[in-house]
Amino acid sequence: MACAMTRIAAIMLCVLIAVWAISYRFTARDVQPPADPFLSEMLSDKAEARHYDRAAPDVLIRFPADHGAHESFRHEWWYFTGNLRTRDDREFGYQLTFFRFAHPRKPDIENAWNNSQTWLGHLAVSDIASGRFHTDQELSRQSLGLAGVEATPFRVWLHGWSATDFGHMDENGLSLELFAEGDGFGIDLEVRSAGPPVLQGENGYSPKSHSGTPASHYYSYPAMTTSGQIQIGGMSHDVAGSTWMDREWSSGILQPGQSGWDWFALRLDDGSRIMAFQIRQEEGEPYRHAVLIRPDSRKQHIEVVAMKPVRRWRSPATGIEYPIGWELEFSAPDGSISIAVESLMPDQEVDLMFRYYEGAVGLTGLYGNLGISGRGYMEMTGYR
Amino acid sequence: MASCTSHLPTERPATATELLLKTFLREQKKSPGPFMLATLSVMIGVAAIVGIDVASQSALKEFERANRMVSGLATHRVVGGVSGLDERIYARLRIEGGLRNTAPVIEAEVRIDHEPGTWRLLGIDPLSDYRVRESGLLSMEHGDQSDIPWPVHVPDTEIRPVGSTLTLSSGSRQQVFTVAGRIFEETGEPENDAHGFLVTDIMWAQEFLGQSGRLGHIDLKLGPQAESSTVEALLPSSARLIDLETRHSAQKDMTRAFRTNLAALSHLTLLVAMFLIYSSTAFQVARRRNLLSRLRAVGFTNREIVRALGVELTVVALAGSAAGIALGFLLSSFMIALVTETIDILYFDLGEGSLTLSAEMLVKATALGVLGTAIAGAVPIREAGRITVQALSKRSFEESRVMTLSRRVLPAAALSFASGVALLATGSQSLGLAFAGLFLLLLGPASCTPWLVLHACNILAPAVGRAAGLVAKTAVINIRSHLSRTGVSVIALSLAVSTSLGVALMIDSFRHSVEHWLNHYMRADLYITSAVPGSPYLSDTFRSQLASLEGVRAVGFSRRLSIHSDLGLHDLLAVDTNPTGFRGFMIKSPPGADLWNRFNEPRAVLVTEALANRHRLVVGDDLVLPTLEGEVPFRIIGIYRDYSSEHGLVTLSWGNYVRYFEDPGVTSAGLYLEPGTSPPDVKEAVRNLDSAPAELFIRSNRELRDRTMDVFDRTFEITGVLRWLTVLVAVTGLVFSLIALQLERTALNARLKAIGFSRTQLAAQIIAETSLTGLLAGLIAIPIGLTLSLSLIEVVNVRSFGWTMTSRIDPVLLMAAIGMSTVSAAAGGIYPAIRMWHTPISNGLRDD
Repeated sequence: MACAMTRIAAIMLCVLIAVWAISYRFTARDVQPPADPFLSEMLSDKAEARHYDRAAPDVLIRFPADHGAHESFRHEWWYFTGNLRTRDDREFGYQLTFFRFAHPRKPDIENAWNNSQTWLGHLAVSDIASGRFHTDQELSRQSLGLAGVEATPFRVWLHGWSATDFGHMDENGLSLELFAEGDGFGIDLEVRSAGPPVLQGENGYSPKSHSGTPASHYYSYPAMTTSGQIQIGGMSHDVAGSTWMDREWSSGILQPGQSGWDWFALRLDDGSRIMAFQIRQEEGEPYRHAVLIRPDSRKQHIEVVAMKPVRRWRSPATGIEYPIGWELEFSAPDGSISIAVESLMPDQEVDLMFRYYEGAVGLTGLYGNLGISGRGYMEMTGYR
Repeated sequence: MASCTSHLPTERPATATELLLKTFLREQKKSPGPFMLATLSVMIGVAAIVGIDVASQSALKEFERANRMVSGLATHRVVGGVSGLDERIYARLRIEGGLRNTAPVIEAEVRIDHEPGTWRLLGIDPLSDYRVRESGLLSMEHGDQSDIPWPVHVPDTEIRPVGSTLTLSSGSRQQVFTVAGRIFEETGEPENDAHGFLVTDIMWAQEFLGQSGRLGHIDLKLGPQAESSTVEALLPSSARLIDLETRHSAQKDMTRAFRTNLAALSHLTLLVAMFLIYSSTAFQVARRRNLLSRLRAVGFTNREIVRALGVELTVVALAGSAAGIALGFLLSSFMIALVTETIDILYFDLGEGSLTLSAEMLVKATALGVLGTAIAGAVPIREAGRITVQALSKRSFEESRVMTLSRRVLPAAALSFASGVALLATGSQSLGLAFAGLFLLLLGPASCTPWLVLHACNILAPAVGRAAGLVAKTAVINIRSHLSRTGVSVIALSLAVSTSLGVALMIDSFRHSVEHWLNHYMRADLYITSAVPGSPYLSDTFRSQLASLEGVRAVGFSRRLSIHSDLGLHDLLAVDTNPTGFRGFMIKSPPGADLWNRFNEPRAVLVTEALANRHRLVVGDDLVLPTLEGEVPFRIIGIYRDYSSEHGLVTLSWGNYVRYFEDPGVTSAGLYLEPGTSPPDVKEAVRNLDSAPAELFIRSNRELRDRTMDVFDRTFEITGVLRWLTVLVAVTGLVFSLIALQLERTALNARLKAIGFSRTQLAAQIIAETSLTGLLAGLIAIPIGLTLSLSLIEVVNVRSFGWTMTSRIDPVLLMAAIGMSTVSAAAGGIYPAIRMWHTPISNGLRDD
């Protein structure tokens, strides 16, 4: 009988455990992270792009008007990346980007929220010394003054983030205050262009494939002297260095069959700059393009001989493998250039609403027989 | 565990406990009645507790789910005045305030065409919403959103596939929406988290609801204290920042009173069940008296016997608790509908949640079941331990003991009653204390029942003998002598009957107070409201046309809205009325005052009793209300009775309302008709007015009153269910103990037959005895029930809801209580009577 009692007690215990387990099962949740789309997909040359204007070779870029928006194009950006140092040589990289995207159709209703323009802001700070990478984003419709761009005086803003001209804008130059605060970090920088904008491609018309289309309108301020503060976790660091600003608008960058791009903005210690990119094909040779910008802002096309990934890093967050070490070879009229590009820290994957790699890099190499070194930024999209 | 090896080949002599249990088990098989009854009692007691617990916990979970859906991770909310907020406030917070975790929301109750129930439509900005909510709607903006006009996201796209259409209506507004996706599509949250919700882009929601440019509220996730002051500095005076944490817990607190009331009733069921467990255990012991003394004679010790009985009782406790949990869970599935409905009516809209059974609840229910059984069974088992070998004792021994015992209970009962009164009389607002007081108040007099019955019988016996003859006299004497068996059942019965009566009297008083209030308050003949929540306002043209309708003597207007003041969330009622309409307010304080003139003075308000009791407000106090001019103190000039809102209501004149609040218009009109005018004709005329809104509710005084009373009745359905459950337990117990008693009396009956009593006489005597017991229990329950009802009205209701009411004693309810008690007891006598009828004398004599 006592045996029976023990059995009854055991059964009751089992029942209790089972009921508890079932009720737990019903309340526990399997939360899965959202599936992020890729920036490269967002910028692909989709069918809906026919609703928009396309970049055309005969369009002349005019300032300051073209600092402003081009709403008839599907997307454009104001892209700032920079390599900065504190007085005691602590190194930082930063990225501040304002993306504008348009929607093909606007419903036929009168409402402040009914706006076909959407803004996305990305802010990233690479704290090289600690290896910490900080990112954040802002998103908004161009409604109620929440986001927008004005050409004169120049100002682009998204909520509290902004790039604002502080009164020294002229035909050739821009002087901007960049302000953005993310979660636990932020930037407040002054950037001043040292020379006139560099029109990329042919007069700012930059093809993205062998066939010449699609293309974008593209200009850069590759050398903006920078100073200000970077805040991380309540600590403010006085920094100085150099910023590269890119402006680009188009209605599609990738064609079907193109999988993504690798883009380099490199600043050599002698003051010259190299902008190089390749658009990878799912099959066949990638489309490659590079320019050398002399310290006096003279632009010179250089031949890309090779772009070879030599070191890879797998992101623990997304499992994606990115090439973070590259060997680049160019052929310039006054000699060949070979550069080894290395991420200053591996983890610079931007895993926000879009996923890509945007990182501060260091470089060493040879220009003819001369040793060269420098800093820069590298962007890689379309890796899965 | 060693005993578990008994089935192994190596035989081991059985222990004493095992032998005893085997003996008991054999006996149980022969007559499983008492064992089953005890198990059943534990089961019902535990079931009542689990049922209520699960139902109210699930309702609470549902509240939390809905809050999680609506508020997400937000800590604060900016709310506006009457018509929400200007959407530019959002931009200001975002840009000037630099507040990143901020999201605008517009929210409405909507219906889906051809479907019962309402849904909550959330209009959100997906691009900012992810900062305060995990609704995972980012895809809305970047997907094919713009291609689908009027898109809506639903909880489950398997039920409503993408591309299918839904016609949503909010008042007279209707719009066909197209299902664009699933709420939580990207976060992978289960869809039951979103059930009852629809989500669309803020612009579609604004357009659909006709509130372009307006927001319902702005949700914020604020960090340090400094951020709150940043927000407050940026807000116009018509908007205010509220702390959601505080608000949610305040809302939960509001329902706490209601949940405590239910829990108290459910625990009372267990208490009644404990009496049953006692009586069935006692019966077991009594029935086994012969067996037990023989067992003692063959050498089993008292310890061994007690241990074996203890094991048996543990089985009862565990089996009863397990079955009770299962039954309770089943019960809860229909209780939850009642609980949710009551919360809907009294507090806030709540969808019907899914039932959840937590480990904690299981442990609690099992513990209560086991503990209740242990307490109830301890006394009889201890008694069994005292049985001596010689005690093939007669019951007469026990009866005399019971009589002493019932006398001894008196001081304890008096103490219990007195401490009950003391607990109730303390000024404390604690509802728990009030219920503890009520329990003691009930238990005291109820436990005196056997003593009272005894004395009633002493007094009654000679009189009954003279009036109704020998049979009746024997019945009365029998009651007295059988109190050892029936005493506890009688306590249980009078406890259950008095509880049932007390609650019934309270509900009846409440009902009559509400009815009286309605009659007093509703002075107009016809009430008109627009059926358009988005724009529920009656236009000026419509108002003036109403006034000039034929047969209309006067018109009054009002507007009711919810506001957040320092007192939390409550209603504000602005009335544009005349002295006749104003007399509808039942002013309680200052008593008998005519406040009409003062009511129209600047910054004068009336408040309801509920609000005054809840916040300890008195006439002359100032009440700070958020107005267009910021926070303005209003003087309380009177407190009036009102049952329309449990959160409380602040009433002010139309003049004050227009002066201090944003005035989008009135929402309801009351028509006073000329004598002799037919309300249906006027109704028709109102509908035909060219300025009338597309959809109107026009209800006559009578219809509105009936509707209100209907709502009232529905809120008490759950209480009714519990009340009947308690009575059911008690009556089952009484019937059973009477059956047991009569069965025990087979021998006595046989002897009575042998000396010449006819079977009819004996049957009549049995029925008379049980009916009389029931009658006495019923009579004793009356004063207890009255005391209970008084305590419920004067203490519990005021503490729970802030409502006062006029006590009313309906003689019908008193008669019904006595009747219920008598009839159920009489019914309990039928089976023993039949059995007695069929038992040959020889059987009974042999048993003796």
